[in-house]
Amino acid sequence: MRFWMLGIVIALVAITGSGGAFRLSAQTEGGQSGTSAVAAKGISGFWELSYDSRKVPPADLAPRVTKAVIEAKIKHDEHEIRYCTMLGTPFIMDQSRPIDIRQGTSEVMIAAEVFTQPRHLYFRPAHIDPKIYDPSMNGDSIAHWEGDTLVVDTVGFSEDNGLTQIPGGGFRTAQSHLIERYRLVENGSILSVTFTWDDPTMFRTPHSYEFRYYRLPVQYQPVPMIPCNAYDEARAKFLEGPGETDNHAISIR
Amino acid sequence: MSLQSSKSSWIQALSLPGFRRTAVLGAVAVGGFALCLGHATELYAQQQAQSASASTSADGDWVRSDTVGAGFEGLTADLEKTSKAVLTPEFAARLAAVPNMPRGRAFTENRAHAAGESYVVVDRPCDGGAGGGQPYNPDSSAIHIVEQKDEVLIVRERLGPRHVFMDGRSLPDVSHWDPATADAEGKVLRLTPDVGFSVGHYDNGVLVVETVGLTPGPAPVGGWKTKETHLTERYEVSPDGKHMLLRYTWTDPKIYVTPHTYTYTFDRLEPGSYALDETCDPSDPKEKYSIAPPKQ
Repeated sequence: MRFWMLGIVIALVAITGSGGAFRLSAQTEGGQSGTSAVAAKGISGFWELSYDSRKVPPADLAPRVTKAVIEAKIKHDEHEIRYCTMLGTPFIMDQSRPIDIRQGTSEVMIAAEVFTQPRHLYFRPAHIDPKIYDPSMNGDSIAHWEGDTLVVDTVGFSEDNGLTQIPGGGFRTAQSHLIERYRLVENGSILSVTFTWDDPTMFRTPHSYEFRYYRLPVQYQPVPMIPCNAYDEARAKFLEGPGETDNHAISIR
Repeated sequence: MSLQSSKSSWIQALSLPGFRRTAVLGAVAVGGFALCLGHATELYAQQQAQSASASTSADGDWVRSDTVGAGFEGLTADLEKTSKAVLTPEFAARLAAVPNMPRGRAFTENRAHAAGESYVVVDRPCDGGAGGGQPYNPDSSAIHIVEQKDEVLIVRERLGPRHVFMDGRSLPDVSHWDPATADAEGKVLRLTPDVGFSVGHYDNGVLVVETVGLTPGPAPVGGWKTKETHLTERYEVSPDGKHMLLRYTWTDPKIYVTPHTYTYTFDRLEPGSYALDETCDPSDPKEKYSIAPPKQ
């Protein structure tokens, strides 16, 4: 082939390829540059924990976390259940109802049909200034993608509101720092979430565990939550009457 | 072309007459430039598309900014003048026959109070478990909307997320729908958050949400709803993306003479805003009273 003809062919191929690059196809739902299209598309949906979903080692509690401290925290959590307050994180990620994860432009939202507010995982580079952020039961969460993994960093937890007990032991406090890593496995049918709690007031070493959520069929529709009525006398008698209740708050006894 | 002949072609190219060499080099340069331009354009176009669609979509955080009231008694006077529901005579007569609920101490505590002494403003604080109000009827707290291709999530800063299915599924047959939990005698025991079942679509870029299966009871501005009542909402965002008009239309021929419509307005929250916690502990006496100093 004459070389000058080869040059023309190279130019034509380059122009055609760049023409394809002019397409406006959306690569991601949330529009985050550097996001894996498969990962961003796949994380949205309904996800459910099953009986084989949790891998939770015992937490390495700090020496200051005495039996008395634990009993006081348990009493706090039992009060929150009894009086139907919102429950927060980590409860929303570890309960019997499916969670609904949706990625939008500026955040990933996690909602569930349980007694708590949804979580907002904002695509922001930095946390809210702690001088103005009121500690909350879900904390201040910021998220970013690292390849196929959504990394979520949360601080600003309230230790006064909601269920504070952490799977494996320990409780969330105002000093808690939670890192979560969300990753699709099993060809997108399972969502692996690794939770790492770092809090020197609670743990000697950071406490990590993994949950694996099963993806629900596309036709799934959520069932409204079971309401909580703090003024229901029969309920109050059941929770406060003689004997211990096997509820979430005292599972670490 | 073998490696040897390719190599000799390169050698030949270098010795080509000036015109042909220039043409070949020019073609390669144009091709390279086109590749770079195309890649840069794709990145720019994607960013523009994202920013354009983000600014005029309902996705984001909104706070209600109209002054027509949040549904409490006496504060909806403006809307009542312009948009009060027109009920059918038969339904209006049925409603009139229902006795009013007795009012609690919050409405009857009319004794003299000392300066700084709290009035009881609510007998049963946190009733409804901080899920009070109706999720489809925003009040003064913000709403947060995430638009994903299969579902739009609309949440308040309390209970009752609204799942708006965008995947083409139909509204259900509500003849066997149970919007509340009742006992064996049909007495309502527990009300679930009043979200119904919603599907949505886009109408020229406007998010349109249709809902049935709501809990029977009052609807704003003198309306009423049953599980068959059809609610249509249009989330109309202004061209600059900073404001949103939420247009409600209630349709139910057994209740309304004509479709019952009204609008609320919203402002988009500033970047960096975040959802607030709503907490309510009914065991705290301060939750009942009108004067409660904030935690210092």
